[in-house]
Amino acid sequence: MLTVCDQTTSLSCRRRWLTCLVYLVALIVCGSISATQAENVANAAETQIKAAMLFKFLDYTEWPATAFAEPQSPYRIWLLDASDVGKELRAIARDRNIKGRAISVFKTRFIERIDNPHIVFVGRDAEHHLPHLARLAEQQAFLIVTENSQGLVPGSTINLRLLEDRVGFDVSLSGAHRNNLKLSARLLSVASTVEQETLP
Amino acid sequence: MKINPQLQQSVFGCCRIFHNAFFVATLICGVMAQSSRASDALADLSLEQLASLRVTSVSKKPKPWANEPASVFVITEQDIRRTGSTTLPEALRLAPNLQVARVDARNYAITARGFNNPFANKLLVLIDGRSVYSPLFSGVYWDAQDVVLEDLDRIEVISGPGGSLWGANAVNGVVNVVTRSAEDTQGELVSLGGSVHEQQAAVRHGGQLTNEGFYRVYAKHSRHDDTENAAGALTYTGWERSQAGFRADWAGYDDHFTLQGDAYRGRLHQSGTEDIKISGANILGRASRQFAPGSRLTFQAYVDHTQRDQPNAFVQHLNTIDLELQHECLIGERQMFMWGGGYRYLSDRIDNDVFFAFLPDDLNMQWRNVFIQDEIKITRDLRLTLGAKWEDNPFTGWESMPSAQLAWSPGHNQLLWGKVSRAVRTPSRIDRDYYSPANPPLVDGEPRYVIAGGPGFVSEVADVYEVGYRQQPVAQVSWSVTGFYSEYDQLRTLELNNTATGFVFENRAAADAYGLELWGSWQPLHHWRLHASLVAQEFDVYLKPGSTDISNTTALASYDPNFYSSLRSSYDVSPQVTLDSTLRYVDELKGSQVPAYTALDVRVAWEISRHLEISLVGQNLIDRAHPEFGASPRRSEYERALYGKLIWEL
Repeated sequence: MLTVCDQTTSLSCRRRWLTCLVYLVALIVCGSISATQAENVANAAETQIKAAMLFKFLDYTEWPATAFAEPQSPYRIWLLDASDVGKELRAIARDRNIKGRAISVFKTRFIERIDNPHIVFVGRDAEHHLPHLARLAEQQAFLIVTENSQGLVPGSTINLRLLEDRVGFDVSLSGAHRNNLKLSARLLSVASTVEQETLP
Repeated sequence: MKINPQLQQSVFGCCRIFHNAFFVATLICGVMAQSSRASDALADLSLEQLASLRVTSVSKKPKPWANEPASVFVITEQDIRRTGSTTLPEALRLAPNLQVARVDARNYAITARGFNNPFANKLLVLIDGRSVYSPLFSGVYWDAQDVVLEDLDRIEVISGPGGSLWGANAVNGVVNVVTRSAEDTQGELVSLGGSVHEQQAAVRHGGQLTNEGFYRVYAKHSRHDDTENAAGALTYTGWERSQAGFRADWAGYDDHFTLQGDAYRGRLHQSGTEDIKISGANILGRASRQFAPGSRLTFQAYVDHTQRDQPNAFVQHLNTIDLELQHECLIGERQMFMWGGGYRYLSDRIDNDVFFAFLPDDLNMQWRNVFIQDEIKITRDLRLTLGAKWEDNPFTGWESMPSAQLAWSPGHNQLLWGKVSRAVRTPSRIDRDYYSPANPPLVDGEPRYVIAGGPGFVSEVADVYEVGYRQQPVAQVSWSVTGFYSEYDQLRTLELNNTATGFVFENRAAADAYGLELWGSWQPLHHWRLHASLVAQEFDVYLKPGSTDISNTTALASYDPNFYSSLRSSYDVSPQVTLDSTLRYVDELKGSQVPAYTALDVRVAWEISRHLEISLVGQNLIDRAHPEFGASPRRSEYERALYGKLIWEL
């Protein structure tokens, strides 16, 4: 058997060299993490802000009583092809509740799996489901939130998007009315744009 | 698996040291990272405060590849499902920047940017981070690779060099197959499909573990008849393969752990001999921890065993141990820094036959690598990315693969980018250790081989210049264009052996390649999407002075079409019924005189209930039959066929 390795190098020498490398690795890791920690606290990841906003929307949206089976039924947030936000949202929802209701977060890639939602957050790659979702929302009263970089797309009630280096959101009031939802004035006051269909 | 004891000590010494490195770093960083959980406190801020927070630069990337200064196309699981692809190589046809030519029932010639043939050696392919490239010939045995297509998350296809991150062999491109997390494949799935020529069945079960983890287990069986040539004679390239595997994921707030494995066996027909027998198994573990937004440490390790018993050729037993460490972090507000390293150990044992031999027949090899990449935000719209990978291989020692990229956003949803890179294909065993015949006659006690390996064979190199532009002017329209110019040097030739009779492999050819890759999508209606693509490319291959090449190297790129394009339509007839069609045009292959062809596939799917979907795919509808690769009259031709599929999912 032939081995193509440099076996003339003594193992002890190699191990010493690699031990030094271990310390160098640890030093670089810690140095770079320190630099990260030193960042301005007003910075946050886009997904974290979006998750926090989804959580806040529960507080500023009013669903019809029929949207809940029982007074203590949890809010059900479904994430359609949006796993990144799901991870953050689960961490937020773990020990919190809104108006006495717990929050359940579900992730899926299949629209048919969405069951009794209160919010459906539609990832960028799932926007082609919006027409179907919009029809369902009119019957079942749920909030459709998207993240299209261009702004509100048909079917969407709230759209999250980057505005320079901040996360803003657009609201379709007519969409909310169609889906039998009431959005609070405070939510509308923070929105970047509020869209409402006008009668001809 | 035979491992030299001294080397074994070294291998496991290395394992220990990598293990130590990971845990030292994790421990220290774990303590420091407590404050990163402050992001959890975002939920306690008001809506106004949330809207005023600044977003860190790295997280601005809407998707990992969308903002990358490279020619990247991502095939989604939905693309695969809606076009009705039946195998992994067939699914790769969806990438406009890949050349996919079916050779026969089980062999494919797949590459990006030219030099295509069934032994194409300039494309790196990974499945969930595990390299499936064979060190025997630097290519991929496509007849041994399989996944449950319904469990795919995406396939990232990068055309152009990826050496500065991915390492040697990523000369013309990288294909990165990524399966979905176990959390996203919960419940049961049964998939049954078949036509008169091929059938396959897959079952999967996904569930929850007691410790907040998720798992899935799957099994799949597929078979394909022999294909036929133009005269209707069988090519004896049919196959039958069974595969089973699992994946488990644990996702905490900052951590993600994955453990997955597969095992397979199969029989492949071969003309005039018994079947080729293939088998293999692999297990992979990956742990990653996020310390703060943009700061992540990932460690991955896998063990892979493959065996291929090919009558009249060889029996190969290959064992691989691979370790990788990667760390990415933000430095200040302007720099995204990534660095890492890896180690790979391969034990390759070959039982040679009579026609040719790989000598030595038992070989242990080691690869080591380190890489760095720094993405610097020069201004708000201008980014410079500098990176390099250094890889130590057992044949030529350390090789360097540097790259520099500049990306400029001239306006909203626009990216203009340029890239200069050097890529390297390090020697494989076929370049160095291939001898024919296996038992040569002896003259004065010296063996007289017709081909006596390539003792002086060195790495093939490519200097590549790329420029690209992509834009999404409105939500319904997006497009991308890339121009490339590549200078290849030290390409493989088969030269007269100066020290004895016969021939040896050397590096006496060079080539220039240039071309254009263009694709885009348009959604004219909410329920109708169109995708179009076009690739035009040219190659000039030439021998260096003094070359006595007999392998017809100058015809290297003559199996590449100068032009190929596609048009795909996805139409939702109703929420339950979808209609998809794909039209492909591939220009002639001058080298093997394969005429240009146009192929049309049409798929109709009906979602009977939320758990059940049936679909029908009409394959190759335009002509009665056409070849895609190889010389007439023995090459395979692909007939019009109807493929039915049922997916039941709970």
